[in-house]
Amino acid sequence: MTPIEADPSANARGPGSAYGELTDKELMARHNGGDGDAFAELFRRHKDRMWGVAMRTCNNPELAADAVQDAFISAFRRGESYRGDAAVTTWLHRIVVNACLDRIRRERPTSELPEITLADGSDRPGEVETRLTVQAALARLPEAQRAALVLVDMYAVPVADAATILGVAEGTVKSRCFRGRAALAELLGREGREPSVAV
Amino acid sequence: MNVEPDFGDIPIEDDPTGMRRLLAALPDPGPMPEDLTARILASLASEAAARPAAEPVVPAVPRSGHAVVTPITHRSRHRGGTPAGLRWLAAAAAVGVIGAGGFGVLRTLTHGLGGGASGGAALTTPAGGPVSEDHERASETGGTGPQVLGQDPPLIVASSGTDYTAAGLAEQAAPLLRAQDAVGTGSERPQLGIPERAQACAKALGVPVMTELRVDIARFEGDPAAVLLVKGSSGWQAFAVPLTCGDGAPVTALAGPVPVG
Repeated sequence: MTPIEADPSANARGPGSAYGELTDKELMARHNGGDGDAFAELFRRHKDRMWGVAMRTCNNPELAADAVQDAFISAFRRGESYRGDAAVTTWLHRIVVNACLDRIRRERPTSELPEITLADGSDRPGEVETRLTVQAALARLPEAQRAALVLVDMYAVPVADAATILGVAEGTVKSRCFRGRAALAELLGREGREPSVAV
Repeated sequence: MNVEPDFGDIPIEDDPTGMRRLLAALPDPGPMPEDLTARILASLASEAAARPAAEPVVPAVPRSGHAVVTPITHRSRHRGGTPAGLRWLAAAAAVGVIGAGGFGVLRTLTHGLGGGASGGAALTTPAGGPVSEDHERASETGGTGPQVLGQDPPLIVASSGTDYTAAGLAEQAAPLLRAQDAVGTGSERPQLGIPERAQACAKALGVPVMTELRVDIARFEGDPAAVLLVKGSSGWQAFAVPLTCGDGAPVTALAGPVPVG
């Protein structure tokens, strides 16, 4: 099992979970076949994970709530777009992350900071007077780096899955993670540097 | 121009900054808040209501032990083109069923579609104790009896004692088309006599859509078994099945399908 499938609530069963024995893919097939109950089970299984991803990507409960609602409604409507070649959770993650980024852009179109220049030595760790919390620092990263770090470092999503979710190449996911980590370290007043790259 | 360095050969775990470990150690935001869960369920219920009507899909596994023969009139009266499962979603939204449980509090949902915090239908439930699936059923049926969700195809259960054979299945099963419900109700009824279980059995046999079901709790070539008659788009078909059919495990018909009638 890959980490992306390791949501502890994903296979939970309980009262009302008449579909608990079906896989996510089977539930999607039922949903696309007109079964109005199947998507409710998918929602029940993955709502907590998607909420977590949304919260960490948006860093704002209201934005996250709106984004995750947008995402589940979008997934409900666009069920036919799920072709079954990836895990349902990968597909859901992609919709949720995109909904978050869309919400962020709509709500704060100009607030994002530019890419942080790591070569600038004027902001040495010891000279940073205000130490940001990790979450606040994460929120200051460019959204693309933040989304990659949320998936790969916070939720241990494999790089290949993260690439699918974010719609970019695996190398781009890595680049965003390495750069995001370095930027985050600098914001937190730690030594921020990327791994050495052979030229 | 910002040129991306090639990080392709560097393991993602390679993190001289220590940020990966730091991020991984951050506490999880926790479960989705209940009010948001209810709000999204309400929106999904609205989405389901707006969906074009589709052929009903039987529940995947048994939901309860209700023993009911649902008349055809009941089914047509309650479906009215409503997508299968809509009532479940709507009820779940209305009562705020959360994950594996529920909460029985007065809850008014005022959030509609589109992710906004305004508009949409207001759904209100009465105050009360914990909400169960049975509570939803009772509400739907007015509490007048053990009727299950209206989407169930009618089921007649018999106990003929017939020892069916593969060669004679079609002929032996024909009288079942004229059978009246002959098996007890409630806990007396065999598992396959429960509508949901019979539907699950038919589904496991590859019959996705059915309009009527009949079950004969009997024998097959000397062993306890059942014969399932399913009326679908091509008429009645008979299967001889083990008594465990519909319990969620894969099943292979002992005989059939064969056309009947």
